[in-house]
Amino acid sequence: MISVSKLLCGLDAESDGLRYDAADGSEKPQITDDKQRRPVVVWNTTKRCNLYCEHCYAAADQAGAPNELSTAEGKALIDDLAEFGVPVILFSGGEPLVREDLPELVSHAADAGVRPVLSTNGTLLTRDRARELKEAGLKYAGVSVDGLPERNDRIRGEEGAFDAAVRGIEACLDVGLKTGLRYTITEHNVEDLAGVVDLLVDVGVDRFCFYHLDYGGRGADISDVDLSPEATRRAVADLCDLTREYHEEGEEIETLLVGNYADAGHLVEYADREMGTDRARLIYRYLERNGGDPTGERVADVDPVGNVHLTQFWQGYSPGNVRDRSFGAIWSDESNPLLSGLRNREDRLSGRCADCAYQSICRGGSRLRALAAHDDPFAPDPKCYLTEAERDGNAALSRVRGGSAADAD
Amino acid sequence: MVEKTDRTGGSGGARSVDGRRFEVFVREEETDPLRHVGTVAAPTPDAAHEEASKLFAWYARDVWVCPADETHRYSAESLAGDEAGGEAPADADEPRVYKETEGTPTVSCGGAPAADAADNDDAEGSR
Repeated sequence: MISVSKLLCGLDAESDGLRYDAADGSEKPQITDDKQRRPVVVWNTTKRCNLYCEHCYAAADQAGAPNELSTAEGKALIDDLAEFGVPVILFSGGEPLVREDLPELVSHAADAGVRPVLSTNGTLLTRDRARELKEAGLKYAGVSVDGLPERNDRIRGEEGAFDAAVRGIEACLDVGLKTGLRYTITEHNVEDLAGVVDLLVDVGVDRFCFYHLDYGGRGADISDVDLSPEATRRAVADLCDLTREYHEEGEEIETLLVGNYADAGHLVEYADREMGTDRARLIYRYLERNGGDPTGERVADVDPVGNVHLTQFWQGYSPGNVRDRSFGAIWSDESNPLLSGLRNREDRLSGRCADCAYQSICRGGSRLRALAAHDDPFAPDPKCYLTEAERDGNAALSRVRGGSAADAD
Repeated sequence: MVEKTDRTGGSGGARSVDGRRFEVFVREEETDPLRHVGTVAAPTPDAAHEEASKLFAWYARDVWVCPADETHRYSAESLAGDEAGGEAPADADEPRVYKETEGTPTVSCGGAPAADAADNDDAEGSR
């Protein structure tokens, strides 16, 4: 997750310490003062969902899955995560609001010292439920909207889903719950991106997370509508422009990019071009501290039946199940050759990722997309959109590092 | 005398959210033991082998796969202990005695096949 607003506009956020080891320089209360040592954990609390979105990585549906973790098991999982030092738990799904025990689980996480946040389609969020969740200790709700009404409803498989999601957002804002947008960018909705931001700023939203498509669940079925490298480049540059324009007008919106660490290199290039090399150098240092793609390191997932995954998108493989041994034991077990390989991926990345000048801030991008495209988790991410000159270090990086491309390497 | 481990369960039932999953075991060298490295989602053993090979081909000499729902798991701890709600099979109280040590461990099966632990359409459908 890369904060465009932090890097380009200097916007402080609660996650600066967690993400960039920059708590000292932030005026906002911090999730943690120290750089992240343990993963943020996404818990898919259920596979059930009242919508049927075309890109759902969890392949959620109305039926759900048999043998989902019970309330007692969920609380034990939360205790387990707390003991391991997990800073944040993201209650996700499916649609987590179909679980009636959600407030109880949120409260348990808050009491255990794990920051509870929510990922929801927003359509089931009434003011009463939003208030109940806030009182339980929920810190943030991310609501998925994937376009203006017509496109959003087509992508989400339900007429009226856009209006219902906006009502959900308003309900959260009404009760004082910090609320943001989640938007997965594809060819189907890239044209609506700026319009959705404009509309939701008017509603009162000030945090916008934009996801690149990853090839998990139903997302793998629509990889053909993923943006081309050129279109991705344009969309990210447009988002950078949009963020800066809002800030110049005094609207300090927070914008974040998720799911393609080519964004890291692109932001350095963008800053060098638009804002000067000093800014680009500062951004590069932040991104070095951020550490690049977090797969198997700074993000983890637990699915509805307890399987642990290396990211929420990579549901096809699990290194273990929390019903067999603790999350911490599974996550710390580097006798698992894939887990240890991913944590030392610099030794294994191949092709253009092996020699990329931006490897230290990208770390090869999505290993899941590499697997999907090349049947090899250490192959290049097919959705890297940097130019050859940028990857060689002959563009901004040669100036950022104050020397030649050879020095940059 | 060595103190016996109490293995309790509660983790029975389906292990897959969508379709079948297979436990994966790999061996690097001929003289190495098989190592459990997790599970993959796949419809058949051959497909599971193919998926596991993508992830571990650079590492493994041998790859074994076993249907996750056919695996009986006897563990020292289970998530949420007795509250987890897993059903034990009829032979759950059958004691096991080791030759090397004295005493009788308390053993119950927490990882019974789905059909044993929860005989219903959903569990069957997840295989």
